[in-house]
Amino acid sequence: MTASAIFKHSRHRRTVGFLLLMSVFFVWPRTVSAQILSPDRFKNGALVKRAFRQAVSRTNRATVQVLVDGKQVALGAVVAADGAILTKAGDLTGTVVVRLPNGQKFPAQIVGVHKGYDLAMLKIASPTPVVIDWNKSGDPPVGSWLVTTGSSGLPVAVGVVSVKRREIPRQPGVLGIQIADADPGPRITRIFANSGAQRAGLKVGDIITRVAGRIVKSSEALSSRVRTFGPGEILNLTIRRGGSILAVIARLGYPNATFNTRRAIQNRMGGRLSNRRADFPIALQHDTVLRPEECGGPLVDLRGKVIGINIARAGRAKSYAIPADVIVPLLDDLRSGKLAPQPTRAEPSAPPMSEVRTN
Amino acid sequence: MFSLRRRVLFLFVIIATVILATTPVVGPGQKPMRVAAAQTVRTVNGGETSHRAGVRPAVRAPKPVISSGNVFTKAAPEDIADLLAIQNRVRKLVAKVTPATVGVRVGQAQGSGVIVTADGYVLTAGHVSAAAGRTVVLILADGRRVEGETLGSNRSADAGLIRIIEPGLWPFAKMGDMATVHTGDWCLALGHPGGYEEGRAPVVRLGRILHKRDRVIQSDCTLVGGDSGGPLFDMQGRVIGIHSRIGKATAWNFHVPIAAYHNGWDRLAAGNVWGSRPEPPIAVLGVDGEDDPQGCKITHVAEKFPAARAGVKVGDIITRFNNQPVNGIDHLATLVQKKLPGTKVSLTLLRTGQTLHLNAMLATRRPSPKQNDDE
Repeated sequence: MTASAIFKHSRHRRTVGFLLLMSVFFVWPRTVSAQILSPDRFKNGALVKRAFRQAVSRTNRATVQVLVDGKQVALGAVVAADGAILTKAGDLTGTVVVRLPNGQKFPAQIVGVHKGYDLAMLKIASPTPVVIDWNKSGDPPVGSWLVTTGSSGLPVAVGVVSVKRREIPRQPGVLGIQIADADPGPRITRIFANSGAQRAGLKVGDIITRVAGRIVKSSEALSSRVRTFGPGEILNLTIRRGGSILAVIARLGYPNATFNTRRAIQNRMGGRLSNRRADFPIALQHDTVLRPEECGGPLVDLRGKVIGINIARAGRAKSYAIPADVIVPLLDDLRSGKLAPQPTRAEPSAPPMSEVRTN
Repeated sequence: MFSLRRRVLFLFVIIATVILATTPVVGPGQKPMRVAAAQTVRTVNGGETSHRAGVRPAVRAPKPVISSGNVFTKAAPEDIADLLAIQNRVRKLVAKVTPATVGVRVGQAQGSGVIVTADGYVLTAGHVSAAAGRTVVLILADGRRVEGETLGSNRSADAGLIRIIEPGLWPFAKMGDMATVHTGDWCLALGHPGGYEEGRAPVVRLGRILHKRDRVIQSDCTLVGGDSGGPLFDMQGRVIGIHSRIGKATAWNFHVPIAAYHNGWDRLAAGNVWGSRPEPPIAVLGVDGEDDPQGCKITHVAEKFPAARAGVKVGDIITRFNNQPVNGIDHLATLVQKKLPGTKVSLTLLRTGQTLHLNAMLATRRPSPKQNDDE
């Protein structure tokens, strides 16, 4: 790449809070010279992954694919021989089917959900003799290899521990609107692109009168009410538009994803992120590049011990896992029915807007 | 209980297994990545050894056999033993280099940096330190805040220098040397992606050097906003790059080579700001034309440019660009230049009375050569 072919394209948008510096680089592929390392030697290249064969060689027989509507939405870990599979709860919207390493598919029942860690216990009507081997010593130190297993002889991806365990705090959910005080409730003055508000069909000028069952008379009241919910949650809103009163269902988003900030743009460079990617009391951060649908399954060390379950792809440079010692004490409750899931609200794809009354 | 014959057989099998498991099978071996055959190479501990073909470990070894050859010179790790060697080294390096890695707050902007001398010189990106003489806050790995002052920056290279103002002896990392950096080398990136987080030590990423040029190093250590100015270390814990920019794919992570700091040190330390920031890329379609009542009539189609590739011909009248009506050649040029190279655009055109729809992918216009005032 000669000097004339290198361009820096920085976006000068002011963001809320700090401006996180990193230039964004658009390269025309033809200018990259031939002396680049061959992709099979990249950290996640085929040649490097082959070195990890022994680390995954048992756990891959205890790793399953979790499918909804025929598409993989997560991986899963076999935790008991009677068809008990642990996975990520957040994306199980619909009929769940599990594909075992031998290719057989079984419908799965969700018998327990732990909201705090976004974990779900599935049950299938098939024995699952190969069970994961939980790590019983402490977390691997920063810099240790971590291997995400799939059902094959090679890892899905590899990485290292980036940050030792810590709380990943909850973030408040946002609709993605600007509002001004009006009567009888706040009026929308702006709708941000890629926001739940936009997808729900809200429009500038709409007046919001109720949020999740509570009357909101001011901008402050609306903000406080919305903030009590998290990203990904779905809220019922009542709005006035023209002479009508309408019911709207909107899904909240993440603060730094919704507003098309530099940070949001950069975190989208390098793939989609998991819907639930914050609000974990304890998580281990690692640098493995994963797709959201590659979360939910085992994360092993070089010994093949499961040191955690991948729980989220959270950014361009980070993935989170819940450590083994945090999960193991939850397994009994997850299996027993104590944490049986509540009946879920229907997911709006095209959010319905129903006429409530006109007066 | 077992017959003598059976016991002998059993013992034989055990011994045979042990022998097979521990004797390396000498095979053709793995070619070391650095091709020069009889080159001496510095090993981990600073001693020297000659390259030799790696010896392939035994097949079906139940325990990891110590593979021969230094994993850091191999094309790729071969087995768990190699991976353990990388892991052990990386763990040690993390402990060693973390204290030298800092967060940098310049006004409302955040980036990262690395202390490279005991008296507190801090390397960062040019676009982090920006102007000279500004007071900044540096956040050490343990959370301590210290005051610093920006010195010079080389804007072409995106290299910047900061100095800690408070007196003291600071933890630092040594600067490396480009001569020891090779494509394929394992490397470690630290920094504060997302900005400094209370209680969170600098974030560690492991990767390899994908590409090395005079002006830029590329690695697959994933970086993101906040990492700018942070250090890229080699497997001896020396700073070989400073994080500068990213691209769309996760493998597109670009670092300023350490040479920019060696070469420009005096000017940086003196507070000089020089060089010009490279301009953003300009898109090009590859046509000449003239105004026409119906749009833009094409008078020339440049060979091998996007319009030619899309099938545009001289005489075509472009009526719409991405469904927007076109009012002539200047208008078309404006519409094209608003886009980024690599963008796919749709063209509606009239050709002998027929309406056609073509798609083109805009290319990069080569900028006019600029006077570059750098090392």
